[in-house]
Amino acid sequence: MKVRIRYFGRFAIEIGKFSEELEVPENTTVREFLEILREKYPKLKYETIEVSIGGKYAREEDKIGNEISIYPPISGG
Amino acid sequence: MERYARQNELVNQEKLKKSSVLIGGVGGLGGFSSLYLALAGVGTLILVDNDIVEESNLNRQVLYREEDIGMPKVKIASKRLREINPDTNIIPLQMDVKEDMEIPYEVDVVIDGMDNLEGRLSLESFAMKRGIPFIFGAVEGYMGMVSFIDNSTKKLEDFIHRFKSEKPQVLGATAGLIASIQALEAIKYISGKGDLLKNKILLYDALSTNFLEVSL
Repeated sequence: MKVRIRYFGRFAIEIGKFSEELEVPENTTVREFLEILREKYPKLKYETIEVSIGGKYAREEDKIGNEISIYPPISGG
Repeated sequence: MERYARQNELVNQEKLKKSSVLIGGVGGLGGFSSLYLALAGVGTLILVDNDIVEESNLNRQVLYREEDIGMPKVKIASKRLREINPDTNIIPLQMDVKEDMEIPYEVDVVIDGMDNLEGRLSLESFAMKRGIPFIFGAVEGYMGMVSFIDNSTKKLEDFIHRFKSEKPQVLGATAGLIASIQALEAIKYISGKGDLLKNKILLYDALSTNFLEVSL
């Protein structure tokens, strides 16, 4: 399946793009999807990553959808 | 009152006057949110922070000047906020933010001005134990996020993973943007106006000019 990914915050800077489309297997879980991303972008390897699927907060066991946003947890003030 | 003539159709000025807001951390976020709440006419602002003003604060912490370096933040913040609105009662508390801190005042809303996750979790617990809302905000680089948390909503632990944090780069404009949304949430909550960011995160990334709303 084709998915559109939007990258937020420092992830966009580390990857060098704000969005892209990728082809991933059907029924991929968030955990598997993050493995694919970390393989593709080694800079994400040790990052804690938050994921939104179609505008909904997603956990590792959830299935991915066509619209994915990834963003870092942040804590500055 | 003439001071509020241009906003009195937007808010419940009487309720704002009677309200008490606690701001945990008066740095980048807390400096701007306290400024906006004083301008709006919130009756009491309780400022909790144990830090002193450092030179490296001055790129983003709107209440402080070079001559304030070395002074307690709550002392200087109180002085500046009283200048901005003498009607607002400012209570400076120079102490660490803790879950079980003794605050001998009535508090209606707690605003997050912390600069680390552990502090935020403590401040959130303080608010939840008292049964009052906690308006979360955090910034890093060009990005920030906000959420309105109370006893009926998801909590920080439900949507922020623990992570290894280093001192992030932060722009004053990013802190101002997020603190402005936090202050608006507080003003709406107190005035009983509009919707609140309950069970959702609003995230803005200025670099990509993208907003993201995440349902929790």
